[in-house]
Amino acid sequence: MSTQEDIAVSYDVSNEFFALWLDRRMNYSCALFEGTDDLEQAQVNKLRYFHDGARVDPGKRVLDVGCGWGANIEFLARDMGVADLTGITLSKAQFAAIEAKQIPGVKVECVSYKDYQPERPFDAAISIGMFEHIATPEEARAGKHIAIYRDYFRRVWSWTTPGSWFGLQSVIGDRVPRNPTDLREIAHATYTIFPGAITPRLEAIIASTNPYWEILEVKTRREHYEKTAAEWLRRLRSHETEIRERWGDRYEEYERYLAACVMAFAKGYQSLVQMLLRRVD
Amino acid sequence: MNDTEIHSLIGEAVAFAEPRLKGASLKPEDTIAELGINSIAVLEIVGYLEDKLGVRFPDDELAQLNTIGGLSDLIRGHDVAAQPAQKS
Ligand SMILES: C[S@@+](CC[C@H](N)C(=O)[O-])C[C@H]1O[C@@H](n2cnc3c(N)ncnc32)[C@H](O)[C@@H]1O
Repeated sequence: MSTQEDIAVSYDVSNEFFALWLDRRMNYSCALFEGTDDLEQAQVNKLRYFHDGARVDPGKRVLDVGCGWGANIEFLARDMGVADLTGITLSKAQFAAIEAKQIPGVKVECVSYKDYQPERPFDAAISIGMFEHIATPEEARAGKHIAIYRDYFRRVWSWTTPGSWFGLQSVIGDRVPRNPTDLREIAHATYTIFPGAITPRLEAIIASTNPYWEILEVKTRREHYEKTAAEWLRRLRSHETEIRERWGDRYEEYERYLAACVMAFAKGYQSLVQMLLRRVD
Repeated sequence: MNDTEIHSLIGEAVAFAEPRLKGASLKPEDTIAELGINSIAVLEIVGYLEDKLGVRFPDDELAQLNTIGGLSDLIRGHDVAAQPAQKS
């Protein structure tokens, strides 16, 4: 698992820095470009997909595991009228940003899923772009990742009521690059921008849901992440002067990382999965 | 391919990705980490073997490649069954 120090490297750079190139709700994950080329709308489409897929309605108690800056819980509270929402994140900067927003019905905790204990169970769970932090590259190489993923699914299962749905989104590894230049760029993103994280392979996720969750829907969205990352890169470049002035070398680092993302999705080294799971009761 | 041929092909591939290991005696139980081969070089070795053999190994089997013996198993397991190599 990425430690809290790892997470600080990835997410505690500065909230203002991320605000310059993410969408206005600050989704740091793949958008859904269906019927639109606009990132803002595509991010709402993604949030809407999980609202519907996890069968969320205003009366349900909903958990967001790895809630980032709160894009999903804020959407569910303000746009969908959900009154009982909890988000957990391991990033102190994200936690503080959500607390400051004072969103009605929203509770946020700065805690790892491994230490989390809800007061009461939830009726639906959503986790977007957090699965990548569960196992480390070393654990995956040693073949320990499936057991670690299964333990994650068991925990979410134990926090939910019978009949719950779980909407899950994750980057997945697909073709393994053999080309040294591509390998180096991807390694830079893995070790420098997201230390402690590794994209799972789809078959590893599928192998680990049992016996806790039934898989009802699996969609891969490789092109959608390529588009999302390309738009982030465009926005980052459009703020080059300001970013260099305020954050120096961060500019180069993130430009390289986002360009590597575009390349990795374009070449099929990485893809994205969205899954809808139903609790096995 | 027989074991000797496999062994010498692996030696060639390792020397290609890590020239300092040219001529080194490689044993099946040698771990890739102990030989100081990093995760990028491992995949260069795999790419070299694929080009030479005209095959493409399944991506999911590459994630847990830990030893020289693992490379031989990969070749033995896919010598016949593997698909023609695709150029990336
Ligand atoms: C790529 S961000 C995605 C954030 C958000 N879901 C979104 O789509 O914008 C990954 C999130 O997972 C959280 N996270 C990583 N490891 C975690 C852990 N062990 N427990 C709880 N949250 C974790 C990070 O703090 C971060 O908020």
